[in-house]
Amino acid sequence: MDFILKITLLIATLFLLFTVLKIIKTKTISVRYALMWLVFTLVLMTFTLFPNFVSWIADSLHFKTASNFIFVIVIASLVLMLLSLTILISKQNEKVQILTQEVAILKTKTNEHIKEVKKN
Amino acid sequence: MYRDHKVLIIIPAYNEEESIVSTTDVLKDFPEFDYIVIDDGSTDKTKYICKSNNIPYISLPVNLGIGGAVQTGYKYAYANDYDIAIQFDGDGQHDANYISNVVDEIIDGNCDFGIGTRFLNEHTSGFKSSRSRRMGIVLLSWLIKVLTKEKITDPTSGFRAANKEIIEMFATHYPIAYPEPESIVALLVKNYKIKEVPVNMFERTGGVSSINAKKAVHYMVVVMLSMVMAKARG
Repeated sequence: MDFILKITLLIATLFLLFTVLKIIKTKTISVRYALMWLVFTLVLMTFTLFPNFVSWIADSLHFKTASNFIFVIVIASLVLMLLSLTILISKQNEKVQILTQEVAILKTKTNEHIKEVKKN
Repeated sequence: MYRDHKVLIIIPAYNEEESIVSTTDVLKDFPEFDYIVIDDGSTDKTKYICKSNNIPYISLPVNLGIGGAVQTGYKYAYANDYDIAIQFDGDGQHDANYISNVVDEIIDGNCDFGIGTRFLNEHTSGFKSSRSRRMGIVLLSWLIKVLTKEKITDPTSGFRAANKEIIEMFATHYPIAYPEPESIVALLVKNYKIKEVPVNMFERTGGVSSINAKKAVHYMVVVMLSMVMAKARG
């Protein structure tokens, strides 16, 4: 791989790594999801540092070029991450719904209770 | 108490400030039934109108959609040990005189779940729905027949009554977005007996239908997919 290209990619992945680490440090995302991003970044880092290794895998899997192989890996991981996020959103929707209903029912009960107390 | 059964009328209401008082006024003629309005996070004065008119209500702090609102009613019915729960629209479309007809079918043991249907008897209904709506209903009815071999003429009707067992089931699992046809498939798959009862329906007295023309196609796709999924879940 070309030296300039290697440096550029390295800087880009390092930037991504530091951003992820910073987000983890400030606790903007929980460790569970941070791990997902950390693994993703480290995989990218490996690709940048060991291009021969990537070429070797790509060749043995009969990819025409190494970059095709990288694209496939990155797109596949993004799709998986997106899928996990959709699952997460659905679960959270369900939780919000249950909480909303419970709060509303409790509020009604409390109001009824207050009315009764006032009557007595 | 109605024929020794505790009966709750669940009235989901989203921005129904114009019609909620007239709807509940009619129900005051039927003191044998309890009723509760579920204000689904309305942005108008629905909640305050309920409060000032001493209408029993539960107010959801955020809008959940019709499924979430109706399920709140079923949860309330389950928590307060009701024998039968009826869904009754807050927009004045449903005729309260027919509530007992639907409830009687459950008490007499003819079914577990009753659906008030406007197409069964031409004489009982002055209600005319649009052609596209009828086409949609025929399509949903056909899909139910394919999935469960049962004939339901009006799967979109929101005038429905559930026995105690189904109250418990709906309190824990109820579809969110467009719940009526999907929940019918879920019930039929579990071998509950559903019976349709002819009822009268009025034209809307206020508010806007939750399904406009723009959403119709989206509605059909989502509903039919969720019906197939309800069947697959078993």
